[in-house]
Amino acid sequence: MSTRTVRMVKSMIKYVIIAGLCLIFLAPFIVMITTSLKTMDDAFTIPVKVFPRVLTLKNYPDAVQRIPYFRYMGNTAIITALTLVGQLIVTPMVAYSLSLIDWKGAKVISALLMATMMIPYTVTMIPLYQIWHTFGLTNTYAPLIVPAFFGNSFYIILMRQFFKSLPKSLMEAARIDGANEFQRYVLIALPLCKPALTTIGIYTFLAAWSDYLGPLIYITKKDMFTLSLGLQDFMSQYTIEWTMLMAAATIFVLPTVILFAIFQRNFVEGISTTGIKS
Amino acid sequence: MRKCFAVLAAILVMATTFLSACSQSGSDTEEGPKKIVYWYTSTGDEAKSQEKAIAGFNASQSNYKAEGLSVPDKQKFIVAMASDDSPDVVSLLDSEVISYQAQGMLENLNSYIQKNSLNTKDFSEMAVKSNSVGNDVYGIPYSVNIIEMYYNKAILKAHGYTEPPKTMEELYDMAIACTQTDGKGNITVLGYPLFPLAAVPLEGVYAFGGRWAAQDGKTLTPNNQGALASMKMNLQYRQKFGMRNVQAFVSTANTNRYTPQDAFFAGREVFRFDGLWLTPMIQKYKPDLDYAITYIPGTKANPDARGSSRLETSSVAMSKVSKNKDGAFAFMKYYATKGVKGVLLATGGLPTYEALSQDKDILAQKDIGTFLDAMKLNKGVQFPPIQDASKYKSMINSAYDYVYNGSKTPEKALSDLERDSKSLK
Amino acid sequence: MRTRLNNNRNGFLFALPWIIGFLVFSAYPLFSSLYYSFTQFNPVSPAKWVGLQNYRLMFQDPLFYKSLQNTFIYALVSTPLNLGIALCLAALINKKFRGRGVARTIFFLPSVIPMVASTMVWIWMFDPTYGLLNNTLSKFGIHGPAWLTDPHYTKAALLIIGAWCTGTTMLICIAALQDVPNSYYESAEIDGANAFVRFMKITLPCVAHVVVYQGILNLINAFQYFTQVNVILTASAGGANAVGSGGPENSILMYPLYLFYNAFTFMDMGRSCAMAWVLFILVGLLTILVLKINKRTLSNGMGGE
Repeated sequence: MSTRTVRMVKSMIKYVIIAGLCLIFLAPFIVMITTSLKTMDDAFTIPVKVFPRVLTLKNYPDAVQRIPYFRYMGNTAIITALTLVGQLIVTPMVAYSLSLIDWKGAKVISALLMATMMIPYTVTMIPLYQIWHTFGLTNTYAPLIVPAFFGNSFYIILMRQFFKSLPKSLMEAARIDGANEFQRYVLIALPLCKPALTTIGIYTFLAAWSDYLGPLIYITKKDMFTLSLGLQDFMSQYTIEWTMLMAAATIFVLPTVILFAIFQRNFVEGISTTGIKS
Repeated sequence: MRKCFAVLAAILVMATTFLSACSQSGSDTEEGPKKIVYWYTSTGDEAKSQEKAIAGFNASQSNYKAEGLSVPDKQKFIVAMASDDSPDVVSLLDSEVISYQAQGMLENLNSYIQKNSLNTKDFSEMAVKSNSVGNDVYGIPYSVNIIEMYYNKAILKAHGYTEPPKTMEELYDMAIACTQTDGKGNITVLGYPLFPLAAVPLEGVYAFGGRWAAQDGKTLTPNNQGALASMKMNLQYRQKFGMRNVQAFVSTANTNRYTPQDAFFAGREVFRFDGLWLTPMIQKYKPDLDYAITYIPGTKANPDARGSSRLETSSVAMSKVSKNKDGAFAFMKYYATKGVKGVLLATGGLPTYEALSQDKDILAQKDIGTFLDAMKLNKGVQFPPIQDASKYKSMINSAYDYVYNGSKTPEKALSDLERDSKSLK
Repeated sequence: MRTRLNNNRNGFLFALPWIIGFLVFSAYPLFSSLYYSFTQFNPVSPAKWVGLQNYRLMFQDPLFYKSLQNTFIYALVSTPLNLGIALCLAALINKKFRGRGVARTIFFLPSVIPMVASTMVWIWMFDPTYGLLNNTLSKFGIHGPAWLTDPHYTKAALLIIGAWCTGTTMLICIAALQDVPNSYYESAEIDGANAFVRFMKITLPCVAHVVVYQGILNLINAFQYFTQVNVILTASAGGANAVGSGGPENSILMYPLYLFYNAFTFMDMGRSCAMAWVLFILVGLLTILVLKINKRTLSNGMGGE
């Protein structure tokens, strides 16, 4: 065969493999959506068919009535929004300090930053619970939101990398022009770091929206549940209402997928740059 | 930098106000009847009966207002009872009452019982005892669960059996005869009572005369003859039809439990160790099912074991950190004496309050006669009331898993269980 | 001079939120958990000093060893597995082709969606009778196992879910791959090396550094594996599993899960803190070990570029 044909065959094989892999990776999504469109009887037939015999949309209104879905969604949204506010305000501040201000503590704090990433959450989980309990704040959203106002090591490191990549001349010029530190921060650094802020914002959103362990240990009042806890309402002592659960899960997953679709590029770049540094 | 400080401060103030607003969203500030929060695990129709009982309490007095919440996940009970917003009253099993009490989470009820002149003698003695540590009562039992053997008459008849088995040996033979598989080895009708899973280490062992603890309730006896014999028969059945095939059937049966597709309702299970709650479900999902109920079998060597069952009560208990203990007890008293009737009817529980065991409506329930008879036999076995009861149960289940999967012989599994259970409190 | 003072002050102020946060949310809890590990307490009972009892009972507890074993097995298998898959996927979609963005999105999507939701979908897919997995296998004549109830297969089920979520690692591999200069490949092709040789002698050494670093991070993460197992076990907790179950034969009782149970199910928080510190030390040692190996292989391996 000519090399051209060989190359064509090779790339066809490659396409087939990739398409197959895509199907495999998409399978759970497909299952989730198609099951949410089935009736319970349909879901439990043998042999199993992927697509519903009788398409029904009933699971969706059923699911959001069966549990206080919109309430949970609202709760999740509040927590996510406040967490976002906290992170977006504090992260650039700290990162700025560690990259664009030349001061004694920068090295020490940077090292501590790396060190805290090595601490497993299990070590601090219980004393933290005890702290909140002492202040009577378990069963509120405080334990979930307040830490965001004090920075997250990973995001700070990300942002610090970004700031370091800015040309020093910019800051110099501003300083010569008489701008003080705060002005330099607000007028120059902040506007420039929008892409990094977006990346961090997306990460924060995803983490807060999907958070499970936090709500699990801190929130016990039903009307304060988040969606990740709320999904378990479909699992009773006796049975699991699969079709409604899948509908609820689909709605739960939707915002993250949409967000991802919009900010894909940002996302990918963010992760790539973190990975390269060491 | 001043600006920086100002901005920071402003944000913190905003955040704190927001947070305190959030945390107050649940607390009540109005005057009037004090709120009592009651948590239970029931869902669906059973939950409705709980709410009716609660409404009855609210209507009967004006000092307190009870609010119910359905929380099927017991894990959440525990976390909540340790948090700053604990429910006042919780519905627990007696084993949980003992366990939680040992963790310091429940209030001793003796003083409240005296103050409110509740007579514990009006309740079944067995039931009160299983909710007490020594003379200290920690839970008021409102319902008793007894397990019996449901069986599919049609399947037995089709194989020539007119009488249900009285011994496990007989049951085994019938199970072998009645099990059906398709061409590929998959089981379509399960003969041996391997499901519900909870019954296997309990009734499944009591039938052979086995016990998980000595008479004192504290000394654990995991390596006992009854358990060994039970495991062996269980294993024998599984090996006959293929461990994997049996496991797959049980796994799916678990997914469908108590739904319209439940294996027993669908005629795919011959014997079923279960409680009175199964009857209304059968009536709802498969009213034409040809079934009957009889005692759990004994064995040839131990015919007296026939009629054994677990003895499990559902009780109401008070959280140690309840902010309204008098109100909580008032609710508990009403609930266990007057409010519980509707709950019993909905859950298929048997009454512990003596007056209710004469009640017309209770007695009118389908199949309750057999269960009340079984109760009179007094062969109920309580699971050892130790603090680590749930850990013990978990270890027992593990031991069974090792046997099912061929990793250990029944002898080794039980002797390992004996060794491992030494670390339990 | 004044600038330096100013800088110190400014630097400090800007970093203040994190400093406070570090002290309150990291440093203090770290040391107080050490203290708590020598006490017996839970939120409703005050801390009572018990010395080494927690550690003693812990080392006698068969489930402690079982959970450690489970976690080690999971971590040591899933990390290289996911890394390998990520690398292969990255290599596959490295070169531009039509639909590359779509493929990348699809591979990456699983790691973006909420873990709770995806775990529940997988539980459904793993059902031996009604689940997609076994039904697909049976079309090939394979009799699929009871994934979540057969202890021989539960970890395999977890690994499958884990491999499905390897999107972030894949992205990092893609970035690393793109850093390899094309000239290397070209000269290798001229020299007659085939694809496999090119991969082994050029691609791997160049991306090794990044990939291994990511591997370490993933390994550490694997030791904190909690959400999936907790959701799976809660889903099957109706039925016989007592609260605090570790799955069939405790095969999916992971260390963080057991720690959680000790704290929030058995209300034995002192014990949990003891377990946490043991984990901390183990993970620390492991990290140091891997870093040392990494350094050695790097210095022995390719000449750095």
